[in-house]
Amino acid sequence: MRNEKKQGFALLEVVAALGILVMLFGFFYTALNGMYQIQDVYQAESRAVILLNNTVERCNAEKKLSHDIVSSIFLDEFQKSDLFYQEGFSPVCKEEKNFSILSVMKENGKPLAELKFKR
Amino acid sequence: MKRNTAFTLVEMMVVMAIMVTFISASSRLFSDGLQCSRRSLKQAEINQVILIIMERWQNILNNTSPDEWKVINKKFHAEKISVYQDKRHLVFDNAGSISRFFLPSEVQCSFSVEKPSGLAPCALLSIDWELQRFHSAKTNHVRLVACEKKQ
Repeated sequence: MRNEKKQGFALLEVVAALGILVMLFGFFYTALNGMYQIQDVYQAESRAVILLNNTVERCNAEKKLSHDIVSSIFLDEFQKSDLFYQEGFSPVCKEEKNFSILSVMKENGKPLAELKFKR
Repeated sequence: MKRNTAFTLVEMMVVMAIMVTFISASSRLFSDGLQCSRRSLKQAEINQVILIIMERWQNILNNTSPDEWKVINKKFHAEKISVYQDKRHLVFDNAGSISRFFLPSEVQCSFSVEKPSGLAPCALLSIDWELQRFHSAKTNHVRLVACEKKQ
């Protein structure tokens, strides 16, 4: 009996190899997309911190400070920041005794950045 | 039946088509990954620079009067202080005492004075730059305000 050496690959082997390749590509592409999303979140967080810093700077320059003034400055800063043009972020300003609580909220209702400002 | 050649023309073409697809997808994925890394590094560098500039910008203007604030030829002036962009540096000139902050490439600074009605005036330093994302450029903008410190 002649022992014939197998030449090339069977169709099943080629299909399996292609399937693994497609899975690998899918995995790397998802990971890359995830990195971009993390970058966006980090960028939005830093913008929110700068927004709050600008608000505090402007509030400290006011001679008379009420919740309405703090709120109007905060909303004005939000409208002029990049966050205003990005979907999923909203400004929330709450009053609490001598404090104003300023938050930039995410779409899921959690705060991206928050500040308790004493008037 | 024994084959004379390893592959027929059709088989070779199929193999080549798969190879071309594989190579182009790999290179695309590699370039996107590289771009993502470069974008992250640039973003981190810019964020770091912004924080340093923000502190300096607010500290230097806290003790100046808003009446003296003016922007002439893209330079911000306040009493003896002037702030301007010199190519890739942001220069703070405080009566001859000069500090220069290195700016990442493609970062543009501009100055203005805002006087909102019923509120205190504020000096505005706008920082703009572009970042690549999936082969398209996105313009980023950050505003840094400085006000006179209330006595």
